[in-house]
Amino acid sequence: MKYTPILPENNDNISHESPVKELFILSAGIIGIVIGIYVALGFAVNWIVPHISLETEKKMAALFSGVTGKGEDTSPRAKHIQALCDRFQKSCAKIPYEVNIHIIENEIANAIALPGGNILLCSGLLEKMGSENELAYVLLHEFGHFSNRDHLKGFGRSLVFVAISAALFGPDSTVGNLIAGSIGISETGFSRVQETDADEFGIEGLQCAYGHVNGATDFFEKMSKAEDPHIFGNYFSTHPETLKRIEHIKAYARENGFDLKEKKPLPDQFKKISESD
Amino acid sequence: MDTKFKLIFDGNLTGSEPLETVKKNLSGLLKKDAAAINQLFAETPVVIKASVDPTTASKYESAFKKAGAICRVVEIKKNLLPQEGKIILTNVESVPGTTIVEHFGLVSGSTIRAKHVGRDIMASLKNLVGGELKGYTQLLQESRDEAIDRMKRQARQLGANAIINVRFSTSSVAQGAAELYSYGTAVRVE
Amino acid sequence: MEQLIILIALITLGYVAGSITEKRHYRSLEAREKALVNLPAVNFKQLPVDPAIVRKSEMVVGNTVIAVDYFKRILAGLRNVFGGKVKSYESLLDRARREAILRMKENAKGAAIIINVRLETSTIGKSSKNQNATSIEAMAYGTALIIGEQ
Repeated sequence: MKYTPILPENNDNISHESPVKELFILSAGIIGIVIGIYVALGFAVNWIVPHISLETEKKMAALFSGVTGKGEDTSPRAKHIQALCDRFQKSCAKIPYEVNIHIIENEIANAIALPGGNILLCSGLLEKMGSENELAYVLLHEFGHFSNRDHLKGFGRSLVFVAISAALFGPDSTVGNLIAGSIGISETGFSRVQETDADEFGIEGLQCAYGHVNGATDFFEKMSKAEDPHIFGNYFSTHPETLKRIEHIKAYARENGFDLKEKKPLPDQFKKISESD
Repeated sequence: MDTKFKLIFDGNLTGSEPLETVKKNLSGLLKKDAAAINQLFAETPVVIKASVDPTTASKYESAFKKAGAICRVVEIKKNLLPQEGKIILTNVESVPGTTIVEHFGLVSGSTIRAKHVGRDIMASLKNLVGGELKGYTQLLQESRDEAIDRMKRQARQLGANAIINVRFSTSSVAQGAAELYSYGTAVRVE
Repeated sequence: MEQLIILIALITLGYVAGSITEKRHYRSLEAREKALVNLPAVNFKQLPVDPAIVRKSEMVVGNTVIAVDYFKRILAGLRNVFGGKVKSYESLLDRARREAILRMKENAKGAAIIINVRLETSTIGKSSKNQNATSIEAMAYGTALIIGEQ
């Protein structure tokens, strides 16, 4: 047999479409799926959360025992705050939880509502408190979160998302981490509305407990002097711009005819944290 | 290759003899009894001989004419050669029944396919109960067909009409994707 | 956010560098294939020439390992969700094989034909569950026949 040297003209073993186009199409597809799941989840979570019984939630609280266990809950100041909370719960802020206070050593001024009725207060927050009213407002704000069961909603959604992305992409993939991160970013928007609702609950509780609402915005005013808007605007912060919050609280107070009267000071123990036992 | 012929009888007579005589002559020629000859006339066309060489074919043709009947001689088309545009694949060293006239070297076709998450989930479930993974079977079947198709296209560009000694190779090149590769030598057969 | 920017930067780098390398490689492949077109590589075993004139026969091998660039990996990962042809990897394998065959031919200088060519492909590199950091190795081997006067 003879040999005919000849080379093929076209290469049939590769595709001649642009890979960049393929990248865009596939990315758009993934984003579409993620958005679809997100929206569906939003509905699902909002529907399920009210049905989660308190017993179930108490079991979930066990998940956080590692954190709450480290906090102080028997020191004098902790007992004082606990007593305040119990007082509020009896009369003004009726929520179906047994609130437990835990204080942790942390410079950041923050308070977190955890499942099961646990409130985590950072010592940095306590140091900034100027009056009992201010502290009461913060506590009642957290009560507001409990009342709306906010702590479950945000928690549930992120958890399902992380689980889905782990199932689709594997636990350590780049694409999966990216998606989980971006969900984290949009979750902050979710909690902005919740924060405003909790603000309103807090101020009503304050009015009920003390007869006036002086001290409600003190904390925020202190925060706003320290805070500066993140370069990306307030989308990426968990708390809406503090100034806006102050305005909203004052407006709400005015609409409901709440007054401003004398504030009650805090016991000395609070300031001398390092010296008291 | 020698061509072969078919002999077909349509029931036509030359007209030189009457029907009864033709029947008698044919019965003597073909060594069949009267009933069989009658059937020959009844169910035309009839294949008298399926495959004979040219000499025998012409002998029969003239014999039939002498008997007073017309027998058609039809050349048997080689059905081993590929039809126009088609390419034969074999995985032996030749295309049996033909000769290789020229060759063009190696040709190959490859394709990589990935499964999607649906198939993945089904596969995990099947790992519990066992059984055929129809999704994957179908996936690999499609890949194989496409790889062969690409190889044929390459061969066609070179002017070949057959590919001999076809081999397959599978490997996994990316996570969740399998590559199917087929290669052979492109030849022209006659 | 930083993660996204890094990802996009890596993808762009992979795409740009990858396409430049690929184009260059294809040009080199085409030039060398044209030069070596008179040395056929076939995969049948029967001797196409009279055994008497075969002066020497020798097995020749050619191989190469080609790495995947980041852009192709991301595309393959995305494609894994939807299924279908992973087009980004096709050129990779095509290049690897053609290169392997060319190297085999280059190792068979002076031969008239290379018969019984076989090709093997494998993946080299981290094969942990989620890493696509594989490279493709292609190897071609066959028997080169040198014909001529004794």
